[in-house]
Amino acid sequence: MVNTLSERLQAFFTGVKPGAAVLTPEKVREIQKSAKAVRSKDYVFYFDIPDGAKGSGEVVVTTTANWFFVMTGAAVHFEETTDDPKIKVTYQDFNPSSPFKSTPQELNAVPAGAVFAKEHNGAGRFEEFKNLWYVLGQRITISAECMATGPARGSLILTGLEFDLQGLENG
Amino acid sequence: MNYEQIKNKVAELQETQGFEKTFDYTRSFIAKAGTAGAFSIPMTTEGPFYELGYNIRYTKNSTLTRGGVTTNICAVRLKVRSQADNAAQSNDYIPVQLIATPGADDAPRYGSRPFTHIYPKGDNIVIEYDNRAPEVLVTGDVYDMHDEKIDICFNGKIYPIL
Repeated sequence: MVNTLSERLQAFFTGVKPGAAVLTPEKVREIQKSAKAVRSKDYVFYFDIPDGAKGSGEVVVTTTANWFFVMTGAAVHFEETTDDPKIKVTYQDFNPSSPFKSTPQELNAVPAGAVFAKEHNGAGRFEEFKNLWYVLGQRITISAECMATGPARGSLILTGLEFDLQGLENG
Repeated sequence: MNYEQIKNKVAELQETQGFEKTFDYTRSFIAKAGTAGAFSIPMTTEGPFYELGYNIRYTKNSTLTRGGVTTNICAVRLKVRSQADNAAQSNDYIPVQLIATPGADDAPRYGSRPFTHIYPKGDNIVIEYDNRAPEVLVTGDVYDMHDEKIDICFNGKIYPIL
């Protein structure tokens, strides 16, 4: 029997194998049914990476109180490069006070060309479901390593959903 | 309503399909070179709009010249929000090349980018745009900014009964 909000949410992650989708369709429906509202939200991160260097930064979750943000995917876009770059991205749950102790999540090196439709037969976007939960004020740290010859400029988008879970503790 | 009335109402809604209707809010605009601005798309008072996704198409009239090589780019960035709840749908401006599907103006389209948001009836979709030149990344880079035409279409459903 779970009672607290964090315990209830934590329960969704029980028994999940690394690399597998964290939320089953049934659990997604359960969350959606519990939530008063669901809406999409994007967090975008710009980077300029010098030749052979790494870039890093962080964005702050700005959803309102009692709303939770769950990251569901990411896409990267290079505006300028001098080579056919690959990018390696690491996300980390930065806030130790979070009830959701996410471990650092790392994407494989992705050819930047794969994010463009014409080179990828219409696939267009690179999506990776990470299901990382964040709360208001929490920071999402991102490290981007560009394995290109020469500098690169691009942007990374973290797509996700916001859930209003007010009242779930007593539900 | 009693059970019979509810049953009849549901049957009527199903037969007339009056409980929801698909709807597109679309706008084409010119992002003037070197400028930023905002505009809004007014929405119907018929009922709330449940946005399911959007499509963006853009031109690439601006150029970047690096090392004598000139390439066409589109540096327009967008930020969208609901006027009613003032909830920004992103933390910052997003490059159209990142969120447009499939990401090139001359490539075949395959669908819209999923994005959900509920707008109350009579709300406005506020779109902020920025077509100013990015900061120079490599010494000697030259941006030549030009006007860009952006087509954006929000697709979703209106619920007139609410």
